[in-house]
Amino acid sequence: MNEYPQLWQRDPDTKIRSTGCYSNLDGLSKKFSFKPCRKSYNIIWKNSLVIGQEFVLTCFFLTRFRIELQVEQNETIENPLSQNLSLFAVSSSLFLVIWFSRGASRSTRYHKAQTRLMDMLLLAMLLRLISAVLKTLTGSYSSNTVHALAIAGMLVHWWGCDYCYANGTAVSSPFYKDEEKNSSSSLSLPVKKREPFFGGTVSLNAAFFSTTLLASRMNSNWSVCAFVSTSVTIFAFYPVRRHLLYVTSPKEAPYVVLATIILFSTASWLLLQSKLEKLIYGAVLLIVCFLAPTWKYYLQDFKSHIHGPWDIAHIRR
Amino acid sequence: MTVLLWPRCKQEKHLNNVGIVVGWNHDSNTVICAKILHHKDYIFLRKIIRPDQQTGDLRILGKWIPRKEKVESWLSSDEMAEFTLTPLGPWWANELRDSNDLLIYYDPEQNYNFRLERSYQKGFSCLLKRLHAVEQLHCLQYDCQEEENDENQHQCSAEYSSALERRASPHVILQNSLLHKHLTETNRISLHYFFNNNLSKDLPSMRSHYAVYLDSFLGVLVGATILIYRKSLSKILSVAIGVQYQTLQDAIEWLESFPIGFKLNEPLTHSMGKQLHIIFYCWNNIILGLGDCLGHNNFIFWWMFTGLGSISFLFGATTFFAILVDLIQVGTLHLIFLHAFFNELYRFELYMLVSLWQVYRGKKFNPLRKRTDTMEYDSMQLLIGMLLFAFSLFLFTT
Repeated sequence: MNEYPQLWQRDPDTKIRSTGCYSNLDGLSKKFSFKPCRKSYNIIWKNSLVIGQEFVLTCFFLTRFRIELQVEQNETIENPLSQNLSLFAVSSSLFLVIWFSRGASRSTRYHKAQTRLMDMLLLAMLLRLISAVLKTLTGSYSSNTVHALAIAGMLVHWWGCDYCYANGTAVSSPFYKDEEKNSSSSLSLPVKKREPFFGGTVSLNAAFFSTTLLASRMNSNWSVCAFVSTSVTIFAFYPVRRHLLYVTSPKEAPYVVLATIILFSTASWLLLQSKLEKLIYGAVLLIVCFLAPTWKYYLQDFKSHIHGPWDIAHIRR
Repeated sequence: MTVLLWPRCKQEKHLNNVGIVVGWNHDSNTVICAKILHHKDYIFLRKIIRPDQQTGDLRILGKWIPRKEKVESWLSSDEMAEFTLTPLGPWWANELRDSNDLLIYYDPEQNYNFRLERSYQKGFSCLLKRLHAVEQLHCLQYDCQEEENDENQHQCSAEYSSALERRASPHVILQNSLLHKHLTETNRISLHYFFNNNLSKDLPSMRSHYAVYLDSFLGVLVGATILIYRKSLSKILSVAIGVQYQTLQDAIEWLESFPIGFKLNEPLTHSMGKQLHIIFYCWNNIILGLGDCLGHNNFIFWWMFTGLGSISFLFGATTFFAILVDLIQVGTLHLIFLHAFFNELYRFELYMLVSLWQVYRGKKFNPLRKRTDTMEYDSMQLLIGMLLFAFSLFLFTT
């Protein structure tokens, strides 16, 4: 008797070929498995940059909230210059991204301007209407609870982000149905409708939920408006721009992203107040951007795909 | 083949000349008696054609003719030969319990579609309670294949009765009033049902008499009591209204004090509490003001109890209780409206919470397919959705 279970037997009634001598798991593995192409360390490292960038953006967002709250409450800030430097860092990184992804937009300038103006007006009106309720939304909850919920939301955002989209992978969506027929990229035809968000719906929703929670703790209307605008810029508009950056300039994109990571992390580093926080921040960034890619580069030798007649058929184009 | 006619039913008066039932032998699919439900001015003349051997479909042809016209003028000579008159006995189910007869209902507006019901009791009981529906002759559509399944028959009879209820009298508002029900369905209130359960079913006439006598006696008793003590009752009523008002005020204040550690939104809670205080205060003043009309203490209440006592004296205890229930409903109208309002608000809040949770997951309910499908939203939609979701979530407790 065979030591291994009999997985495949010759069936005389069918026309399916049997595996013959491969009548155990090892044989099955040899026949139907294959190793994926080995990726270079460079590619793995570049793909992981967006993960690090999202982490940096999340931390920047949370530290920014803390600083705003301190300013509102007229508390003394340890390093007053840090605010201006952080603003400079953020502006520079956004400028870099916009510069390198210029000309990549699918919509005309007029349409873009119109959309942005409508968004601005809508946001301003909405915040004005709900400001009264928003101020007291979490009034009966303690600050610790709200902060914990917000941090949990940002963790969900970091986990749920679509990093394939962030790395420039083309999106197959009914929205781009016509463009996919014409070319492989999604940049050929101008788009007149508002584009859906493809960078992870749950991720963006979690970020906005945290934004709402934190905004409810602020007193000044201007602070809330600035804070929410920052959140929309960082989590909604920036990922689209980053995707376009990878699509238009695939070679320069990782370096631009690296530059933004450095700038944002510098800004966050300046805004963080305790040494422990800075240490943890640096450690996580190091792990995500360097240690994890190294480990993945080492582990890819052990990876193998198994495909066989049992797989669900997919139509290839 | 047999042509059916319409012998009258002995209990016809209960059904306003529409108390006739049709049936046939289920095994041989032949008619053995003629009982038809029809409009009081028309009869339904019809034939049963034997089932087709290939398809098994049971076909029935028929037409409505005015009662005054003679049957012969509507039949051909060949049809006359097959014409038979079947004498009608009582249509109580007892006699037909062991038979395979079926009950058929007809709808002239739907091309004589009909429904089979094996149990006379079940089929007819719902009709007895809906005099209006019986007069309009409603029925369900027949499906030949379902007749073998008894469970389907029961379900269909339940569907039938619910269909009848839906198509009943258009006076829906009045129907909700207990008084209307009492007036339109005399002998149908609990006294009658009490006797229905206890007395023999073979003595229908005695049942209704007992109910009337008891009702009248109780009515005299209650009426006399009210008329004698109407002054005291007026005072008690005004005190009760005051107690009710105070109880409601205390309840609202308790809710505003964050009971059981609920995390309520303070401004919203106080705002709602204030509005409710105002509503209760105004309503209380209106009711007490009515009571103290024309400068006399409890003037209206005194006359109200006088009227109630008189009605009870004249029309019986059940009428009195029916009016009393309606008056209590009028007196607590503000609570009914508030209940409906908060009910609707809560339902809307729940609906918003569920819908926005779907938005959070990037999904949407597809009403066509009755399932949840993935949906692509743009960033502004998600922002507004999440703002509203946060509101719904944190204001839910309040």
